[in-house]
Amino acid sequence: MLKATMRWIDGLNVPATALVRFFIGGLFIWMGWNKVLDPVGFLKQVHLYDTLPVTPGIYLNATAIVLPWLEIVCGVALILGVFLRGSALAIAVMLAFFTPAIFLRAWGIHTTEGTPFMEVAFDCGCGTGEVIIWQKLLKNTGLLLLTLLILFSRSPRWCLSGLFTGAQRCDDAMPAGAPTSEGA
Amino acid sequence: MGAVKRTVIEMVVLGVASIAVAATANTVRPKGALSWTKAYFAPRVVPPTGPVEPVTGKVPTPPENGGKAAPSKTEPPSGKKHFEHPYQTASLDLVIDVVNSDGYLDGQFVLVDARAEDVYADGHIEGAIRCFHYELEVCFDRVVEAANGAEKVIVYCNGGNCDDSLFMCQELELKGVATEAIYLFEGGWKEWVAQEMPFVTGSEE
Repeated sequence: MLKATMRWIDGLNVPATALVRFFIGGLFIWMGWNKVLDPVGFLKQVHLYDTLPVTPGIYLNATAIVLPWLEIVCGVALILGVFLRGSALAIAVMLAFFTPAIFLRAWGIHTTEGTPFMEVAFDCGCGTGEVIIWQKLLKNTGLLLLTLLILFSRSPRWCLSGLFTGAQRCDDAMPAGAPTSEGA
Repeated sequence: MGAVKRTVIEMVVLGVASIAVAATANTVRPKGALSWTKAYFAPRVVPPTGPVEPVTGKVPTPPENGGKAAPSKTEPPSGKKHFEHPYQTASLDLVIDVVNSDGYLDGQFVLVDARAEDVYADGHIEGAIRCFHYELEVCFDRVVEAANGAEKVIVYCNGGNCDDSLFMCQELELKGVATEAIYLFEGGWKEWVAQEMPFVTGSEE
């Protein structure tokens, strides 16, 4: 099943994965930059999730300081095609962590305040302001699937490395042992 | 090198690079830099069981400088619930009463504006001491000095679900200010301006 899916992705002769990379990379740069512009606001949002201890402060503060830049760095790497699979994995891990956290916080509001789940809305700290949560969860799931598509695609195109090596595919510029079905 | 191993290594390298960039940016940014180690948030205080004693403010009087008569106690304008807390809640009526009292000038009552500098400069309740929870090192000593011995210390921020005032209350409590003396003006700045109450602009001198 996995091999078949990867063959299908690989068979997409159009640079579909490259377009997805640019979209997700740009989105993460934008969302990360919005957080960088308001570090205190983002710190408060992280605190509201109530998942990290308030003392010592290093956990919350380090998250608020580093996470926006991690999103930006991964977004840039994804667009440039540098450390392509590493950045895709990092973004997938972030999405896989954020999405359940957002769901749990929304579910908490739903159960404690009696707000219908489909009407729960708050600023999730995602860098996009207040959002309707079920829509955000749907979007995040879509982004996760697209990121996995990048992660598992075997021959992505349009990478910065290709500019220097003349390689048509990102993996051509890499040492032997390019990602296979066992990869990523 | 296996593909999985290489991918994980790439991710780690990106993580390390992000930490380096973030640390640099946080150091050189002119405003809004966060401390790595400071605990900005006091541990959540468990609300006491049983009803909170009602606030016994005087009969409110309208401000002398043309403001409208004070309305009765209202919900925060945003309609959202504030965090649960053990502090007494100051109504708009009580804040007006305090601001118009002689004790406000004498230090018997203290008003603390827990918002950021720029919004404070745009407008604040006259006489309020400004101290943003994330810049305690530059203002908190002055607040504690004023709060110690005061009969009522009323803290406000933007209002609604703004939590800066709550954090300030917790910091004051940790500094030894009596819990009974701490009041949270939940309606905050939004309620103050919504009721067209008078305010002053400019930074603290």
